[in-house]
Amino acid sequence: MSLYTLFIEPWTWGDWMWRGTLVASLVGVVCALLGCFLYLRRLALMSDALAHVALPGLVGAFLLTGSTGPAAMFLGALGSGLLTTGLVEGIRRAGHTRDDAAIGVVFTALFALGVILLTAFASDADLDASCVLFGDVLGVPTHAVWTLGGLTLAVIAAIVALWRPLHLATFDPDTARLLGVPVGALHLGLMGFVSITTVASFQAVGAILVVAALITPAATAHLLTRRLHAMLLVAAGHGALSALLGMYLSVWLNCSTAGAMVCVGALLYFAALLWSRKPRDGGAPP
Amino acid sequence: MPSWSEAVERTVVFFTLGYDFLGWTIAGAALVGLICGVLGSLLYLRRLALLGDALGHAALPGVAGAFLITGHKALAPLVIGATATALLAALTITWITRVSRTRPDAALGIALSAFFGLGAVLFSILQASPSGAQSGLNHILFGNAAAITPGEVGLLAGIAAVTLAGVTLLYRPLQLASFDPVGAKLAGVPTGVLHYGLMTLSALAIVASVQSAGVVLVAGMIITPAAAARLLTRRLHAMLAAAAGIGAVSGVLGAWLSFLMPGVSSGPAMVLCAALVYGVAFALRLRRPRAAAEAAA
Amino acid sequence: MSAPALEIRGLSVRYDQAPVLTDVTFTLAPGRITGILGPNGAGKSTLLKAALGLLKPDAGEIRFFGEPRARARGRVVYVPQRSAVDWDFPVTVADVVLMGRYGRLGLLGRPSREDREAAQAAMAQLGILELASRQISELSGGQQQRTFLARALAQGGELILMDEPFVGVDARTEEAIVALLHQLRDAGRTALIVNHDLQTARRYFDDLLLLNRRVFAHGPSAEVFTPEALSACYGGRLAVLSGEDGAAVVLAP
Repeated sequence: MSLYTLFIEPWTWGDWMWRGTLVASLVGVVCALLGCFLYLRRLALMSDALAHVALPGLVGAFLLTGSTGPAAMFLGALGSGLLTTGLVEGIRRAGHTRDDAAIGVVFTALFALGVILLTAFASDADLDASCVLFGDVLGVPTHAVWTLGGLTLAVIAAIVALWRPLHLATFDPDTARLLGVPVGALHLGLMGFVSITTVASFQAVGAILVVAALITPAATAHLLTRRLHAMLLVAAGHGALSALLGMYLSVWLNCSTAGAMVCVGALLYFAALLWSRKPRDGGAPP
Repeated sequence: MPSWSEAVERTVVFFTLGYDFLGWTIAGAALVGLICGVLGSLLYLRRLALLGDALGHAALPGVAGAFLITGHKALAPLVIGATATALLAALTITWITRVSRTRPDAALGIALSAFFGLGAVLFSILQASPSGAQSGLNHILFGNAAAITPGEVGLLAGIAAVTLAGVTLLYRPLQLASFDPVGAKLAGVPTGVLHYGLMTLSALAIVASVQSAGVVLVAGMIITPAAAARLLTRRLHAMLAAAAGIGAVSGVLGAWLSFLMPGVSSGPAMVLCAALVYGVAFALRLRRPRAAAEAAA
Repeated sequence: MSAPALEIRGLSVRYDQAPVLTDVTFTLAPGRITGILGPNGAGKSTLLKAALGLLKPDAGEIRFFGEPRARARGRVVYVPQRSAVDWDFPVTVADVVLMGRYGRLGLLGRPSREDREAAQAAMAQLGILELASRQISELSGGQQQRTFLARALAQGGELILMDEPFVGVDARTEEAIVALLHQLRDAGRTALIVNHDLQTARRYFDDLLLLNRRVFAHGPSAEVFTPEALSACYGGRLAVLSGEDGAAVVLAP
């Protein structure tokens, strides 16, 4: 087996390879960028919650509108994402349940509701719970590529435009609030973006593997960088690289593309972890 | 959706054990709820509630690996494989938090998704293979309480016995180690042994619960009854008992709903019942804060 | 003469390569109350944690009552910082105080009548007997601190280590805690207390240990609490004003 058959030939097998890689890279980059802010706000596990509750959002939207079109799906996921954010925040404010458990209670309940509604009332919808979980990179329709591309641009534009308030609100929310930064609105905006991204991504990588795309690049970049803009760049690079290598791996092994991308991403994280543990020359300043 | 008369009829059949397998179904669902309630309470108090989520997802590659190696669906290799990968995930999380500056919640998310991703890879290889043991995937994901076998119920009963015996005998060291790890260490309590014992038991319990609750939603059975019990109680032993009770009742009700409505998996139904109990407990607690404030004054 | 309650020799601790404590050496004579003073980041809490074996030092030797820590276990009591306690845990005041007896119960033991009586007596001494069945989040800051002191009392340790016990506590409770410590000292116990309040240091403590990464001074309060020693330890971040009764100190920003 030559390098040519391993690395070049897959690109000649049809445009699904090109489109799959493009979709996966877009998912990797947009999730990595959003994930950095979740990670730094210690909200990594909200991504777990939002990824799960996309399902009840989709099912709810289908039951209300009878359509599985993109508009209904996005609004459904956005609605259930914001509902989850509100419920978790409400339980947290009431103060009788631990924060991590509050997340767990809310998303498992909503996800359970989604699965039941799906099987009991919406079995004729073109939604399959295990496909929602695992995704299908190669079966992504063209319009989804445009959606993902637009979303990536929107996220980058939002980060650039709101750089200073975002930076401050992420690092020190209390000071940001004092200085008049609308921290609550930024938080909701972030959660909304994550919800929409989850829906746009899950056709490709599946709801749960979105969690990996949101958390792992951010955690890797956090180990390797010292400043926020560097962290965002490294995370985006990690997302794109995992997508490309994962694509190759899935072609070679003929296995799940999303799963392969997650495995590659995790390996990159562990490599970064081992590398960052190596004591650097000179040690700490005296 | 069944009609009312059908529903009543099936309910009577369910609770009078009209089919032979229903006895196993009910016993299995109740045991799942009880074990998850007790272990979930201990995890909840150690701020490890979402560990149940990670361990549940991490069972998937173990199940797939056991399928791939043995080629059939025997209980023992599945349980061993799933417990092994779940434990490995728990160790990975502990290791990452110890040696790196990655935050604990992110460490949990990384391990959860990485193991689930590995499971997805193995399952896709499995589905492409000629032995084609793919039919079980949906049941592993979402649970099917009615298909539980006597062997699995026996396993659950064994785990329940070990859990209850362990919690009863080691109640005081467990209480101290959960409340005040530093004080426990100074008092000579082997906190490390207790921690890893709890992890092992949780991994085993989660794996054994997967047949009824499914890998995705077993977390709900770990977290929700414990969180509800915490709202209703003020002392540890009461919390443990309440969580076991809420878990067992939710488990049986979930199995009943799943039996009532064909196509509805038992895992989501159980979790939804537990969430309803949590909602009621939350409402009760919201009405009560004045009493607590007066007591503190 | 009896062995020192605590003896630390050449203790060095680093976090991530950065030295936090360097070559810390001192001994605590039994029957005295010692306060550890020093600026933020001086390593005061780290010193307590290292002494208790909660973090691994790079170098140094620690002995309690002339013995290694493992053999002196029951004789050392630690009262955690209030912020480090999980107040939402489902336990009552009586449960917490009874935990002081767990060390001597072993893994499988049950508390005896004697254990329960010791817990009762400790709660009575701290004046929290009527709070016994409260869940610990239903207490005021002072009552919470008294609960943990009662636990220390029930444990019956000879050396009491406390980390910032006066934070978030009303003046009355602070006085009560100090009075209790003095009472315990008169009964032969030893205490080592991390504190940051310079105003009360001389009045509360028999001995002072000035710490900022290393030991700047250690000895009887009247000798150690001097403008020279304090400004050396605090690195000039102190304005020291001398009053009639010795030195009164103002922290500069």
